Amino acid sequence: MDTSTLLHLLSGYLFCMGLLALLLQRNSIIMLMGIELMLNGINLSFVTFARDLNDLAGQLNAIFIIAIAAAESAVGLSILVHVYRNFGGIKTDQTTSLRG
Amino acid sequence: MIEALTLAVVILSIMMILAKNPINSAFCLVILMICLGGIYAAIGAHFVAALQIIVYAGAVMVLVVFSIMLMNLNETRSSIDLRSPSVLLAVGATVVLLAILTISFFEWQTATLKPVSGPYTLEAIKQLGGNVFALSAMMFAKGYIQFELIGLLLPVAVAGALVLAKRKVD
Repeated sequence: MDTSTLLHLLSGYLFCMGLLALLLQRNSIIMLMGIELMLNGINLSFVTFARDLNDLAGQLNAIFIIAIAAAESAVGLSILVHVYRNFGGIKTDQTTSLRG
Repeated sequence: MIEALTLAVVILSIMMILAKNPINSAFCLVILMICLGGIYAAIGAHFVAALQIIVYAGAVMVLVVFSIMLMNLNETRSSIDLRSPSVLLAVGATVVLLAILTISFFEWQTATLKPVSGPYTLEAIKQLGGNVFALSAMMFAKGYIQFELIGLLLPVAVAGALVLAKRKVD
């Protein structure tokens, strides 16, 4: 298996593992880490396509995605701090005020 | 080299999901980010590799570990029950998605209509002075609007995080 095929399959695998972490875990911080893992899979796909197609636009987009992921995790973690203060925990089965 | 890093990433992602303690899974993710940075460096994306180490393995994961410490989450949880229907559904959906991604990648690889190859071959990048120089020239020639928008987004995100983390919003 050549390098490009290996890395394309790895990027799909990373996306799926992020999705699995998001679906299996009840802990909001690990769910947030799953989202980071999915974004890393996308980044790897961008960079590998940039290498395959001899175009730097993929690497440019990967840089912008890294910046957006940093902003997303800062806002997400401060939301979790707020949730922790109001509910006394960040498990998704503790925060059920909006459940009908 | 890339094969070893790929193997490490595969194993660490499974360890991250199955770890009993949130801090263990955070550390698995840190090592995974560093391995991904190694992969980026090995395929010639040097600037992305540096940013991966600095932003992801540095800033983002420090924030995550700090939050875990702040929320006192060091209780271990029971292991995932593999026979409950929601877990089976989640694993099934993930396997289906992985199959779809793999099949569509091999379809793309064997497609008759090949995409046009860009001008930035390894020799062209070397002529321009290396990956970082070529990337920065391209960023300020073609991607300056996105660059300015990201520059706007980051202060907004910082302000939002500060307002959300305050104890009372007056």
